[in-house]
Amino acid sequence: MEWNQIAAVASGAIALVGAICTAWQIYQMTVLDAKARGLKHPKFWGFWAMNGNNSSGLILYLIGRRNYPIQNMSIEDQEMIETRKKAAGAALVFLALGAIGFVINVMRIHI
Amino acid sequence: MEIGKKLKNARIKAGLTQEKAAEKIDVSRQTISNWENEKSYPDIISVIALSDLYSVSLDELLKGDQKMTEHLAESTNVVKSNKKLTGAIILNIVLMILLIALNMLLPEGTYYLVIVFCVVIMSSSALLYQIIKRI
Repeated sequence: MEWNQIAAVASGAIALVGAICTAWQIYQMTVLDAKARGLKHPKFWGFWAMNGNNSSGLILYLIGRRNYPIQNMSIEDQEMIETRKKAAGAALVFLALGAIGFVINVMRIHI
Repeated sequence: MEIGKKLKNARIKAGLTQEKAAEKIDVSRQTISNWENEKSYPDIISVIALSDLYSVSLDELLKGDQKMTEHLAESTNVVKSNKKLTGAIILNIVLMILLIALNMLLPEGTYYLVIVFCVVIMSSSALLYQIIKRI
C-alpha cells in the first residue's frame, strides 16, 4: 500500500470519527433541549436533529421548537449543553480536516 | 472591571462562601466558580438573583463588561442573529454555485475543484457550528 493510500484511509477515518462525534453531540444536546421544553419523545427529536446530511434536521428542529419555550432547565443541563457545543466544534474541526485530507490524498493517487 | 471579578468581590463583601451562594440561588458550587472565573456567563435571571443576594445593583454588575454585554446581546436578540445566520447560509450556497460554475471556464480544473472543495468544507463546517450554537 502506498503512502498516499495510507494517508487517504487515515484521513477518511478521522473524518468518520469527527462525523460520528458531531452527530452524537447534536443528539445529546437536542435531547436535553427537548426535555427542557416539555416536548414528547425527546429521543426522537435527538435522532431527527442529528440526521440530514446538510443539517436540515437540526434547522427544522430549531424552527419547530419556537412554539415551545423552555419550561425548566437546570443550570447543570445548561452547562452540559455548553460543554457539548465546544465538543461538537472540536469534532467538526476533525471532520473538516479529515475530509480535506481524504480528498487531497485521493487526488494525489489518481494524478 | 469584568463580571467575574465583580461577582467574586460582591460575594466576599456579602460574607458568603461559594457553597452558600450556590445553595441560595439553587445552582451548583461549580457554576458559581465558573461564573467567577469567567468560564461561563450567568443568564439574565441568574444575574438578577445574584444582584438580590449580594445586594448589588444590576447596573454595577452588568455595565462596563464588553464580553458580558455581547453574551446578553447574543442570547436575547434572536431576530438579529437569525437574520445573520440566514444571510450566511445564502452566501455560502451562492459562493459554492459561483465557484463551481467558474470551473467550467478553466481548461484543467482538477486542482481548482479540490481547492473549492476545501473552501466549501471549511465554510460549511463554520456554518454548521453556528447552527449548533443555537441549540
